[in-house]
Amino acid sequence: MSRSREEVEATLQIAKLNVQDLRTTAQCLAFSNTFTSGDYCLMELDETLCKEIESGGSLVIRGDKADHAVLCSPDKTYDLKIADTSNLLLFIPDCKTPDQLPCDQASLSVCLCEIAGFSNHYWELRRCRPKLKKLKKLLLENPYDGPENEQDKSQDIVLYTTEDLLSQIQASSLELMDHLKVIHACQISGFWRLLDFDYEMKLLSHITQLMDSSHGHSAAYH
Amino acid sequence: MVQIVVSSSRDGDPGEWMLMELQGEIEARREDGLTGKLMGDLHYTKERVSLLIIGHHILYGKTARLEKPFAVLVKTSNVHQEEAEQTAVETKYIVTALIKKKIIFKTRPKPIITNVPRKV
Repeated sequence: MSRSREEVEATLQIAKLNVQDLRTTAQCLAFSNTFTSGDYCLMELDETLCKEIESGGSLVIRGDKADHAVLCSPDKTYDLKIADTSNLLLFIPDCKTPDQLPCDQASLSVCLCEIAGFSNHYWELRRCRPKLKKLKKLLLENPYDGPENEQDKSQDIVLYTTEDLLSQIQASSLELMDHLKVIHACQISGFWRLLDFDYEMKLLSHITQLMDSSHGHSAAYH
Repeated sequence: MVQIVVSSSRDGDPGEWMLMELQGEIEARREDGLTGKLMGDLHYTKERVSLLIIGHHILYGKTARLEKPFAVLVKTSNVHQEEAEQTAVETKYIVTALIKKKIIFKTRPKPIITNVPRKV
């Protein structure tokens, strides 16, 4: 499948188009031998996400069967929605714009461009809030109440590392880490834990006692 | 919950493809599919107007930069054999190319009239 210069010029003549008005490279488009719509899908990005991909970074789609899927960059979360278009979208790998073509050739040159695929819908991204309610719920399954109580717990309890949390929560890494700070979670032996309320109060009172006793020494010197 | 990674392949920078936006549909002349067939000739005028000759029609359009670039994704699935006969399927989307510009044809196609019979 190819077209010669003569064939292209003949078509122009039949179409009553003047070769003089045109740039000197014609691109003949043809459907590739593997042309389908099934293999490719289009996802709309923004400048930041585009740069992330170009610099070798990655984005992650997160979701359960019951959730709406989200797309996470290192620091943001986006809702993923399918948008239909009434137009036909063709993907042409080597097609050039007018500015990319040489403009000073004497006669018409013809180059063949393959159309790789097509689509009539694409994925749209809309910035959204990360879904963080689940985080506190997961960490409250096994609050930490002192090293002595850790041994007593049965073998079946589930504890979560950062990676475990990222595979359960629809949020970006940065948003997850920020929220762990907000809910005062601590990392103990590599696992994120919330302190049991009574234990936290016990710790606070130990600390304040320590502070009082050291202040007590300095007060004696006034 | 599933985590599906979207990234470009290990070979580096994804290439840049062009998008062409057409109204309506394209059909093969005979109903034997489009694969491997020629579609049409794309020309640019000296004023950068895009011209597409498909069959008996000419379409006029223009090139434009996309406000929101597109990523062209290809889905791949790898089956991992894990311990205790469990297999895990790892699905990934590879960014094959990015699309930052398009040629859009919005006007109605102009028919090419040939063999106009001469008046006797």
